[in-house]
Amino acid sequence: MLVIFYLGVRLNADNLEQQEHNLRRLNLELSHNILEQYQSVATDIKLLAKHYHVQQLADEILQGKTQTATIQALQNYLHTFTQLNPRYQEVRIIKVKEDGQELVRVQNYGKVEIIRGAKLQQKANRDYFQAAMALPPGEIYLGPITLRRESYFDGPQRDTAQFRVLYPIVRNNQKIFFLSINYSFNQLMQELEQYIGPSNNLIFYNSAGHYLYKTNAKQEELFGFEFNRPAPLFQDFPELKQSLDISSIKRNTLVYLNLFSRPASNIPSFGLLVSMKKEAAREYINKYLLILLFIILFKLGITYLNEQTFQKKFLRPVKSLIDAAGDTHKLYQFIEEIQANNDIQEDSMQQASVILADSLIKINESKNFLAGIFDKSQDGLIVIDSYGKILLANESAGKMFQYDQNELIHQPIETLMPKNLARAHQSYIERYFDNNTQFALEKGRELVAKRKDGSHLPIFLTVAELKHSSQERSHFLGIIRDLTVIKETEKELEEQKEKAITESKFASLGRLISGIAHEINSPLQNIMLTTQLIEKMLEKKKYEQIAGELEELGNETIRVSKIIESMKSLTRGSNQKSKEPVELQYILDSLKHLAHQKLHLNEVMLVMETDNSQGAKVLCNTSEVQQVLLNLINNAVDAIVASNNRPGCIKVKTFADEKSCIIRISDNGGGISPEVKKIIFDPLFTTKEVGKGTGLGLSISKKLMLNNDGFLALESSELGKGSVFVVKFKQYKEQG
Amino acid sequence: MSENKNILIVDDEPKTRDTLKKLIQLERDHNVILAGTGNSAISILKEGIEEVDLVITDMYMPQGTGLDLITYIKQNKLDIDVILISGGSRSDDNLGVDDDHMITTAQKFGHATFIKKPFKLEEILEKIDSFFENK
Repeated sequence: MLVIFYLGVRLNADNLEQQEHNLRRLNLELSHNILEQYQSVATDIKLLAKHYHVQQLADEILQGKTQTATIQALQNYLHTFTQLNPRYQEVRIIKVKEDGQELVRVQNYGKVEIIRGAKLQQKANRDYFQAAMALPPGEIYLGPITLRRESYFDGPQRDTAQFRVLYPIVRNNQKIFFLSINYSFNQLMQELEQYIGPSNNLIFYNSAGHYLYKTNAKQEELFGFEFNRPAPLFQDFPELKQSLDISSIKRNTLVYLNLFSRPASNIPSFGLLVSMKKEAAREYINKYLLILLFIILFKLGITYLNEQTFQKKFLRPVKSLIDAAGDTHKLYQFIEEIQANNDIQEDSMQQASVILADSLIKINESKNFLAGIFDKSQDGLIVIDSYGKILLANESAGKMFQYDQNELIHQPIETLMPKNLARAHQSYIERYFDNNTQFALEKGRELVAKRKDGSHLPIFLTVAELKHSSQERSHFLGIIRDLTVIKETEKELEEQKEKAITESKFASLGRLISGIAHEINSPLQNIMLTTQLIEKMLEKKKYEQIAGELEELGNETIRVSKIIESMKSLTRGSNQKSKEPVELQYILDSLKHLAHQKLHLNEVMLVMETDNSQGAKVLCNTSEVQQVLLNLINNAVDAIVASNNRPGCIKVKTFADEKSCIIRISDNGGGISPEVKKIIFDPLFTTKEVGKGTGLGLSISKKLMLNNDGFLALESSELGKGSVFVVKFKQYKEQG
Repeated sequence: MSENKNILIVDDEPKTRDTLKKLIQLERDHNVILAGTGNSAISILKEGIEEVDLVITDMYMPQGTGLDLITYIKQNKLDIDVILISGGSRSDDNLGVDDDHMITTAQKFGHATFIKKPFKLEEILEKIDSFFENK
């Protein structure tokens, strides 16, 4: 959005005439320049017609046998021709017969395009063609200025004013083909613009008042005739309705325009308007000219802004508005001064007043615009003075804190704070002014605020200082984002995550218990069979073997009790999150039993090495740690099975130092690739086939170890050689 | 009482297979052969080292499961009955084997019968006897 304010103009009559004269001369000069373009294209096309290749092509067409080589040569030549004359957008050779079939087409942006089969499909093209056919032989066709869409290799399409010149090649008093040149005004207009300087405007329009080119034009301002839009010339310059060949003063702008006919036509077909802003005119006209020119540019792109940029983008227009208001104030003073001074001409005064009123309207408009943004913002916006009194609050702020929007005005900002924050707030502001520290400003932070009903809400607050030009203390703008929904979502996500972990814990426990049930069945079976065997032996009086069987019975019972002991380690603390000191050796012994079935069935050997960790204790939830270790063993077994590195071996080595206990679990499986290494601890990552792994194993294991004041890490892994995982605990020291 | 038959007991748990052998020999006069893995049982059948009328096999064993053994018997159309001893755990993906799957596959074999651990001597003797009576 662009808003320009022009304020106050006073002109000296003599110098206005002088200025008008300059402008008229400039305009004539430029208009002739446009007319000259027709001349130069006409000259060029006639020269082109005399070219050897063009003549040769005419001969060949007449004889009825067109050579590809000739067309190719022509194409190359025309290509060079357009490169030398970049204003020629397109040069074509069009056959007279077959309704103007195209033979050669070359475009100035370097693209060589021949559409051999192309007919004159567009009405505009047919019109040119018919007009050119109607010309007496040897005459040149100079087309009207129209619209053409130019495409560029290095940019978007652009509409440009252009005209077409057609020249027939004649043999035996008969037209064989046309040379056609499309002239684009774009480059010329840009050159003219540079010539007249940046402070002047150039408008190139047709006789109907439609713009063909305008300095800094928007796309929709141009070529209205093509889209049946009303002509803008007489809307922009209503005084021109009286006469088209006049000079005019409009606000601070001097205008001169002229109408011209294209050659070979008596109807005025185009015009050129040069406008000059008074700011530029000041350089020509002497010091009697008083100009107050304030340009306020509001470039507002506030649609969807993120936290960081919001503040800056919002503050700029607010500050500009404050500045503008200050300037308007100055203008008032200035007018009062003029009024006090009698030698000022009355009409100048009037003019100044009109412009002032105009500017006030515009300031008001932009104020409304900004107020709209302020009010409708999704974030709560509150402006306070340096004593914490609320000066402005928008709708969102009202809703957020359960107040009517106006109810908040004049309230102390502390009303919206919980007690602990409210007490200290004013001292923050004082400290800010004293030290000029940037605390709380710019960055923004999360806080708790208070609603009308006393309930608390989480917010994200960004504070910006609104500095005044005067000595007054600054105001502050608070941008408040309600985090209630975000916080709730975060909480929900956290709960879901916890739930997933718990479910996965139960699932793995279930699997373990199922494995143990199987494990316990073997000794139970043996006990049952052995008991029966002893019974049978007694029946058959084979007493000599009974002692041995009884000993076996004892062994099997011990085996069962060991398995039950290892099961205890799994259930220990599984219902509560308690931790208790436990010997590292106990964990490892029960691990042996728990992992036995998996190792046994997959023919993987488990080697336990206890270094110096004898008697070392760790404070942990045994069940959780057991799960972590079993998960690592299971993964290691799977890795060995998948790689088929035999004999499969898993080493569990324990160390202890002053502070910590370490368990290193290494396998001789397939190892982990560098890409996979990066993501093995990510939730849901799994290398196992669907249904075999949940992908939660390592991520949960890592979390469980953190719960137990330890950590889990991949120490090393080499493809084809295996992996080493490390589990580390704090060593537990008994007090005293 | 039928004549003496040859029974192959396959279990990776030495204590179980030994006790079972002693019991069967004590109660019945069948000839008992032992194997520690499914694979070694298959090679006994393949080489024809011993004559086998009945196989009593554990389900889960390293180096050839009970199912592998049954599959071998079926594929080679051997006239051997099978008693399958299952550990009792079902759908145990922690072990990488699936009880249901094994049982379903084994049932297609027809002559297989199941005993769940832990079982009593009487149960297995009953099965053994019924197999030989039907012959």
